[in-house]
Amino acid sequence: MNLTRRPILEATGLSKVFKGPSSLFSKPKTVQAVDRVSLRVWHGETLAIVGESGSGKSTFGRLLLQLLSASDGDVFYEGENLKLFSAPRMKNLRRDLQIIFQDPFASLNPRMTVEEIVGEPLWLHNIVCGKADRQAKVRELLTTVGLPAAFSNRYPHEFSGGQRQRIGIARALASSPKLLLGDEPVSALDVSVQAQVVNLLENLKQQFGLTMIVVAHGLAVIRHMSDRVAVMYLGQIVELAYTDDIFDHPLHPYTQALIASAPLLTPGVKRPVPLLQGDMPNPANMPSGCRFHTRCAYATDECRQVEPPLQTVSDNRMVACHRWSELQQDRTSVLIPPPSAAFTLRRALFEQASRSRLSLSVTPSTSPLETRP
Amino acid sequence: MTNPDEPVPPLLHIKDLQVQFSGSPTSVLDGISLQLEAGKTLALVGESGCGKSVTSLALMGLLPSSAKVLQGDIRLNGDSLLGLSERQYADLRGLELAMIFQEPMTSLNPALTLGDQLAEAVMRHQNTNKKQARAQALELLKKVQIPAPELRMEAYPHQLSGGMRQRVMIAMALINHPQLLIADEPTTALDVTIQAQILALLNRIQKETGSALLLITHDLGVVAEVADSVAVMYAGQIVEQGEVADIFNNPQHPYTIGLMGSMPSLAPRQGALSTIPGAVPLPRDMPAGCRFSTRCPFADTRCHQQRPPLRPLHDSPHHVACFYAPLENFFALSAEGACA
Repeated sequence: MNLTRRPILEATGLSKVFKGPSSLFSKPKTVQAVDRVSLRVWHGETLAIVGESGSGKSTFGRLLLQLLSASDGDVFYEGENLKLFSAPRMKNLRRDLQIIFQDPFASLNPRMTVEEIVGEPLWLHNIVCGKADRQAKVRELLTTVGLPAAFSNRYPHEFSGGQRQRIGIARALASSPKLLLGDEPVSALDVSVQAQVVNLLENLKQQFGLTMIVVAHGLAVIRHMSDRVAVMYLGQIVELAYTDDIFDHPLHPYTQALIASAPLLTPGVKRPVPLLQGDMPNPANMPSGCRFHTRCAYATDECRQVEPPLQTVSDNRMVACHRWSELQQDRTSVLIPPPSAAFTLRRALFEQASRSRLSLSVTPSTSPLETRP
Repeated sequence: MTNPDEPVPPLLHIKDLQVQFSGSPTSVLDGISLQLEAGKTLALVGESGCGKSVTSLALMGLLPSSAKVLQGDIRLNGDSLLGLSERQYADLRGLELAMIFQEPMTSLNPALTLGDQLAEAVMRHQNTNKKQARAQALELLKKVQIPAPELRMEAYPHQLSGGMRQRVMIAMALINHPQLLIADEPTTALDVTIQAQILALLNRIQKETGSALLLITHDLGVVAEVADSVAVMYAGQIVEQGEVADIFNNPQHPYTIGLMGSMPSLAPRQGALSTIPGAVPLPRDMPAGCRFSTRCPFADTRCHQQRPPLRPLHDSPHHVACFYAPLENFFALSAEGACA
């Protein structure tokens, strides 16, 4: 991967504190959802932010895009601090930074047609003037995401989950963004539909030269799609590395446990790392020292008292653990057996047949089902 | 009731079950046959709308009134469940058959403490007083490894995390020692680390109690982890069935192959994911032949017109409903395809 190492987005010491309801007699409870996170997003990469629910990954994604305002810290876009942006410049910036939401049922307005949904960014940002031009542009966008252009007069309820997610992607693409943030973009979808949307996102990234940030909890999807992975736990990044490094040699005990708990597609293969016990602690009542120490099998007194910094351990690799170097020795990496020969052959046959079907049909973007009267 | 000369019937036997919703032109379950032995785990795999949840509702006698069983039978230890009255079914549910639902928050009663809900399940089926029932409830909370179980007896569901609620659901399902446990997407709403805990718990409990588990899921990873045998469903039919190793190492049906190819792996990336084009046909568009034929890259006229029977592959428990299985006997990889 030949990345031009220029950050498109950079967060420095980004924090977000949510306040609970306050009453006359008590101070409001606060939840530190994101705590002093610094991160660079390089031009053209796919960066995954992974973590369990409550890890602050979605909040961090929204802070990066300025959909939430940070309690502390700064976000730089192309080297410029977003705090100093005027309102009109900020509005203009929204063209460049777009988001795809998780729930394709909740994120589309049920009273708007597809044309209105996808066309809204076009008139909002004065990208295309005139109704006819806008309609043409919407049709083009729908074709880009693999939907028939004739769907533009329909309403969201007429579509399946996968089709709605494509509409959401078309809307995000409408303003010709430079960066796309997917907040769990495929986790609400069925397996086969998920594969379609993953492939679509990869193609679009290639086609338009996008930078992508994927916020997700599905580890297999992340391994498949991303170049780099940031692992978050209770509002902090605990490990940051290239995808292959993090999956093949996770350094942080939490990353190890997380990867070990993802089911393999091979019956009878057991992972050497023990299961993670218990739940993530309540973010309103943060543990002292290393936040992971309550669930960590290797925790010492130091871990319980001193917060480990996110330190650079090698090129492009950071980890926040006091004991990562000593733990490295007794770590057994996960051996994933290759798929069987029978499956590999039949999958190749399946793909070959799919390709020849595709080249036979006149309009490749529509499935046989959708073209039927 | 069973003749000693006859072989012992399997714990659960679903025979050629056909269910149709009123107003729908096609059946939602179309000739489903399944068998499950005590102590074993059978996974029913498929995507949304394939009929896997309808199968479990039919088993529990919870089909909505708009659904009608057209033919077939469901037998538990050789006794048919379909003729049971609502009253008889209610005696069976929670005692012989118990279900773990996907979303524990909506399945637990928000207004009752955990101790009271669990005790209620005991008192419904066993002739005990409340004190004994609560003692059993506490025992079960310990068994599913709820921390501080004595305290949790007085807790309400909203005070627990998702993983803890699912443990309570499992405790409730187990409390009367059912022979058959039905788990409908038991870990879908949970994080992976919690999912691993719950799967390990189910595995351990099954070993201890010897109950059979019917696991309904769309996640092939979960299937590989816990199942003994697998039935792959598509649009109300079983398209492939076999031991778990058969399905994963020797998948035969194009749908199974496409589904497995569309799963990203934890191993290093190898090219783009396979995709199955299109979507499941609507009931009014359901083809007369193979229901997968509208999306199958190998389908021909025969597939569109004739329904392929679920047939065994060389006398093994591995069954497939496809005219062209194994694929390599009918199709060859071109030179161009081989390098893909």
